[in-house]
Amino acid sequence: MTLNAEIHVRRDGFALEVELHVEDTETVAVLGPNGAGKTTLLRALAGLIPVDGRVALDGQVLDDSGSGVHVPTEQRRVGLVFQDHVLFPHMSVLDNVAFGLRAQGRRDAAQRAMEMLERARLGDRVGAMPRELSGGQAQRVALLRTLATEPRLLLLDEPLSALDVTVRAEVRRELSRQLADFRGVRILVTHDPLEAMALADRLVVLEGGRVIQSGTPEEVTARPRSRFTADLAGVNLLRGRGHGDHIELEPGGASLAAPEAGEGDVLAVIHPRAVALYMTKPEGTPRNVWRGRAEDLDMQGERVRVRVSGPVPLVAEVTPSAVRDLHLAGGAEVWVSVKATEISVYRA
Amino acid sequence: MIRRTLGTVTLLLIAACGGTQTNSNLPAATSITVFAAASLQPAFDKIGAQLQTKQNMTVTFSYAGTQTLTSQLTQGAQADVFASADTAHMTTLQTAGLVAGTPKPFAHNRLEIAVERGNPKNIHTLADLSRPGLVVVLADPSVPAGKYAQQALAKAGVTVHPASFETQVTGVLSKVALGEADAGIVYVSDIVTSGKVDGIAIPDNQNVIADYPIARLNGAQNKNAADAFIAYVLSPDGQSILAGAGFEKV
Amino acid sequence: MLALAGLGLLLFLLPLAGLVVRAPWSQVGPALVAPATLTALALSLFCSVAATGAALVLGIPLALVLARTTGTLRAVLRALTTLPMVLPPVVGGVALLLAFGRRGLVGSLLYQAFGLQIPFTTTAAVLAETFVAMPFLVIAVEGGLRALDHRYEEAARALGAKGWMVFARVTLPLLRPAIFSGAVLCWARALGEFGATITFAGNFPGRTQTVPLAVYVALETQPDGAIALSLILLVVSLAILAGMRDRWLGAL
Repeated sequence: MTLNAEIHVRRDGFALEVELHVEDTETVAVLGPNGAGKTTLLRALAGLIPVDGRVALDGQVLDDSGSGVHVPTEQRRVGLVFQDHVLFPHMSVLDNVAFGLRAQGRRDAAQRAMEMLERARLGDRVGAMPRELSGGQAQRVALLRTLATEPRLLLLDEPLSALDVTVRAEVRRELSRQLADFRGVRILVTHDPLEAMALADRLVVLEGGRVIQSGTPEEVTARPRSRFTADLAGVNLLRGRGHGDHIELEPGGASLAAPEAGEGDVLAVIHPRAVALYMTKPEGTPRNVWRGRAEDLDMQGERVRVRVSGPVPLVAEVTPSAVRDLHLAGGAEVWVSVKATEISVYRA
Repeated sequence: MIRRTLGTVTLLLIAACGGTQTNSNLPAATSITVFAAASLQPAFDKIGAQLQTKQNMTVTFSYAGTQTLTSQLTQGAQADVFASADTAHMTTLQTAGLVAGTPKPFAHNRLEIAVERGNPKNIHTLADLSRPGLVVVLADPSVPAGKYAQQALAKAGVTVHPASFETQVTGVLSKVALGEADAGIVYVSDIVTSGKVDGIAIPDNQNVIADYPIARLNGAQNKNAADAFIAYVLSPDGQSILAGAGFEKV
Repeated sequence: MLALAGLGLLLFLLPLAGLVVRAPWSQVGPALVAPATLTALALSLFCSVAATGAALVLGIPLALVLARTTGTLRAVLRALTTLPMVLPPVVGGVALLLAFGRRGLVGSLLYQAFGLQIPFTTTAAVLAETFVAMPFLVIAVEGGLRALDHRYEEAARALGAKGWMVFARVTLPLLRPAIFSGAVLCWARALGEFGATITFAGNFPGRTQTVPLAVYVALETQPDGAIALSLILLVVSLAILAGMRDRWLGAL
């Protein structure tokens, strides 16, 4: 089963232009900052908003603006899971899970729903009303409600982000298990990198309505193409022009020495660990050395990340003792040094 | 937008209520308030206009069904003169001690059958009103016109099955005028002033003549002006206006 | 502030107090069980319930359409549906006559084709009450629809439910509080309807003389009976409105 989608949606000055191919062997996470168009993409795939373009699932055309085909949501066999469960508040847990089966006209709807709930160890909650459930339980029931209809395309819209951190792990485990068993195309929308890494085989990064990057989590974090993905990977991303052995960051401005800078527009990634800070100008001949000022600090476990301003603003990762010795907390002036060999350069 | 409309309507309502109830806050000198039976409106409006020009007297009228006016007066409404469509209600007020002196009859009104223009249903007598299939409306017996209609029908020995007992004579009239009712029993004056229905005369031996009495009220703020008003109604000028409106002279 | 609030409350309470204080209590009982009273009460009950039923059947779809339109069309539709709320009921009655009367736009066709005449019938009383009271229901349901989280409907559709099932199993139950409060307001308004009824339907005991009309007529001939009838109407309305609040909130 394969999803092939070419979607253009234009509304209120926002344009979504996405091409998407998803196999049923993979879980795809659509990542992106707020307003990137993630939810719009899901709604378009679900058939809830009109699209320009073409959506086909396993060879069946769901949308084709060229020939005027539009299969309504209720006939698509899509499964939608929302951020906050959206369980029907006037129905019991059992009736919620049985709803889709009843819509399909199945006589054993209640029995099937009961079995599913028992298998998910929610058998004691069948008679409860949604408002009596905990957040985690409600989201698990919502997932079961969706899976009960055996959708061909599962669309999860930030399924964990409304949950408390404590229950999030538990629901994530269950979700991971269910996704593994699920036969069909799985698309997960999230803004949480951890969620994406934990659940997805492939990331699709959406920014400003366009796909700016796609690949396995490793590929994406190794070669981020935007500020968002760089933050996701926790690395410094710089943009500039390659000139053989150095990168010109701004026309006529600061430049960085890098052995394989190439030519033309390039992106450069520097891991914060590769950024060294000194009290005095370092000896020897490292070529990338400049003065900077420690702006703010962020504890990350055993390490401290320091945002340093200067001709090339970067984040450095240092030990807590270095923070003390260099007086970084007081906004001290420091020397910044980056080894040219630690800079990874690739085409923009 | 709805809210603004509501506001406007409220204001209009307040203004409308104020309009009919302003009896005490007028300049005192030569202005009076007259409570008059609704059927008198066309004639009394003319009389009021004449008094304004001839005697510089401002007359404020409050027209309503006689029974409504009577209840308002017994509940303490302020007025100088009361002109009633029947003697019974005047008697009620007298008993309540609200009337100054003896009420004077100033007009008679007789009943007629109101039918649609051109009399399409060929109605000529009260007896015709009992024809099956005919839609007849009467005034409610609690209204003078309704009481008289019952008396007239009794005199004629006719039983009708009305579709409605209208709470005002104007209700009877408008339903005939709109073609909803085939016939109704109303005052001659109503037919004359309406101009939208035809009147079929009821013979004297079946008819009921309504006496309209007028009297100054004890609560009158301006006794002289009140008496002047009554005198003008009874004068040849006043009587001829009433006759023009379909009333019979005293 | 408090003083004005108190004054406002007094404005409501004093007329009611007048009714209660001046009520001829010894005669309330007999007036209550008088055949004329019972006839008017039964008719009022029937007409107001029928009008509420008609308002539910016609008003909910109307509210759905209203909630789904936007812009100028919506403003026009909204103004039209709420007009009876601000129109003097007597004017409404005249308008009904001109539409459904024997000579009216639609009424004339009915009369010519079937010899049917709506005015002076119980149908006319129901029609008049529906005309005046339905906006209360439409407004309440439309408000409920606008406040509705439409993701419930989307979730239902994604689960394979077709339009009708979504409406019956999801939209309608979610709207229940709004429908309930709208229906109660509509019913209460229908119960108190006077002007449109007397103008359009006339006044005939057992056929079109509802309690408010009976009160008006009785005010002349037997004021005690009128006050007794008014008291009944007052108690019923008060009980309904007071009861509604709890039920309404409880339903959520």
